[in-house]
Amino acid sequence: MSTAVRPSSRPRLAPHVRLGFDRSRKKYMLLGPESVTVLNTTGAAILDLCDGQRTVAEIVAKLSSRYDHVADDEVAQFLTRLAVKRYVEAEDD
Amino acid sequence: MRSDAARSGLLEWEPPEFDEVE
Repeated sequence: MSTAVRPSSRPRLAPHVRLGFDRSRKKYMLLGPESVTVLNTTGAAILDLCDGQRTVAEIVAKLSSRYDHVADDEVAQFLTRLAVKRYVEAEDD
Repeated sequence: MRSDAARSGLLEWEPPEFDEVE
């Protein structure tokens, strides 16, 4: 288990957090036992695809069918920052 | 003037972000 998320990593949400949607604020959030983390739409779209099966490269490819000019380095950096905070776990092949 | 994203029918990509609520 590593905190550096690479294109070959298979990220998933940590067991203690879940992705939710706050209807009143119209914002996606990561809900932990003692934390709330507000996400923007692309952040939520990335995490929605983190199932522990797909690699980061596959997630970027999937996002590219919905978004214009997906920056793969931004996806990896975003997931790395969340992994450092223990919200995301990433398995490496 | 339409953006590339609008012309292609794709959503515009914005850098993913998160903000922790203290």
